[in-house]
Amino acid sequence: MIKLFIRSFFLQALWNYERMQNIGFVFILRPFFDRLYAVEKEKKEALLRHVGYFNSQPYMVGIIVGIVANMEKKIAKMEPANRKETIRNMNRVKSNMAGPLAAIGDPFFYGELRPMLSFLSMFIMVMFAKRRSEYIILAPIIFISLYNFLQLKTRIRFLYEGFKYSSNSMKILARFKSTSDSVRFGVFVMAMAAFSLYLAVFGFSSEGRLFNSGDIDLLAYIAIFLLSFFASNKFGPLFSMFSVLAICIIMSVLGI
Amino acid sequence: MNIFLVSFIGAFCSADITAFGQFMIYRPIFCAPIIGFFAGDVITGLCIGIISELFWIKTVPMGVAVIPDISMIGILSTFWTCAYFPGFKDATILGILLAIPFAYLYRWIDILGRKLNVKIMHWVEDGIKDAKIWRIEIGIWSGLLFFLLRAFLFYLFAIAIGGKLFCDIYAELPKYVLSGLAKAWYLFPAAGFGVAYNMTNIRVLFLGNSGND
Repeated sequence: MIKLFIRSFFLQALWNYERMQNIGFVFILRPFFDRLYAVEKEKKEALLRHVGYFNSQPYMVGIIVGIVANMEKKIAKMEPANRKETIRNMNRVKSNMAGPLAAIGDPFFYGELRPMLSFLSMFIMVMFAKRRSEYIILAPIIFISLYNFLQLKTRIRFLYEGFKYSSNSMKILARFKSTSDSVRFGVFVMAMAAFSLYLAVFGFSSEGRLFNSGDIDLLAYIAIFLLSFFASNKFGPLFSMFSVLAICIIMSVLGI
Repeated sequence: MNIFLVSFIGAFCSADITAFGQFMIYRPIFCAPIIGFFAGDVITGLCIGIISELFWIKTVPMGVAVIPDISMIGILSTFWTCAYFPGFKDATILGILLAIPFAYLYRWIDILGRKLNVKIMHWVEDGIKDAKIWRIEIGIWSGLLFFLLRAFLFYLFAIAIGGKLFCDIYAELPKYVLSGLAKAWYLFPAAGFGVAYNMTNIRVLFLGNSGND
């Protein structure tokens, strides 16, 4: 199981447009097949069963690996003539699970958990920057440590549950819903906290002074925030960036 | 800081996007301060990290999407600023702006690399059919190696060419543009928060479920 876990980091090393993560998936299972099949022909057939299209979420793929390994164990014990139905079932389970896992995992990890920890890290950075503390370097380290603690925990747990409970392990996904709701709220709280602190440090104080009056500074920061919010909704982040840059240059030309 | 070392770190960060691990070391909020730390100017790295992270907060490799290499924006701009104009706010922003085309250019190289992976994949599949199972390992390692190699070589190219461009452009820019860039140093995070609020689920609170998703 440790070997399969370590190999799961290589799932996308040979990611390709034709069959996505297929060779990565075969690479993860290879040591398991080495132990399962003594006959070379059977091992070859087992590997060839998994070179078809496969694409899922890298952190959650363990559950599919575990279920497939369990089913392969059953297949290995069967007479070759009776294997067809179980193989068909295994392929069905594999292809039916890959998509939904990606649909749950990608938005959760990349769309919620990571932004939440990014905002937390920014909050710590701005806080330490205000105090001019040398511990500011801890902020990105906290981000990377927390994120990887959670993603590694998910990888281990999903692989373990896939192995232990086989197809019943899908129940684990139901628990993801409540976690996802909490994290979504966390994104909101951390984003608000980071932006408020940034405004407090740069908008109100002399550190971010753009104009002679501090009140205009704060208004400028909020106006830029709102402009960027609505512009990026319509035209994307790069448009927002260059619009703000153009505004800054125009301000300089006008001597504001 | 040695350009070979920066390229080496950069190649590892780029590989983290898809090829290996997904430990998020490619996020600018992590890689830019780390480069800044080694180059002796953490604050520049942190500033670049925050700005880049905010503007590209939704840039993640979901499904089959090949994203621009945002680690390149963080690493290149931090390295250029620390190496040539440490502590200059206007140079920091110019560095970010100049690194963006390199990140988008590398996306096309990455797409070509993934097309090469199709050929390796078929070679591995044929190998399994001929009972040459060892090709699985070779296939995976070569995929990873090609990824690291192309990222490393691109970083060397970008650091050298981009560094020269960075210095030349900075020297030629009129004073009012430099002053505008310095103002942008303060305002880009506010703009970045605007983008980030829009790109994350916070947008739903303000705009409902309509938008650019």
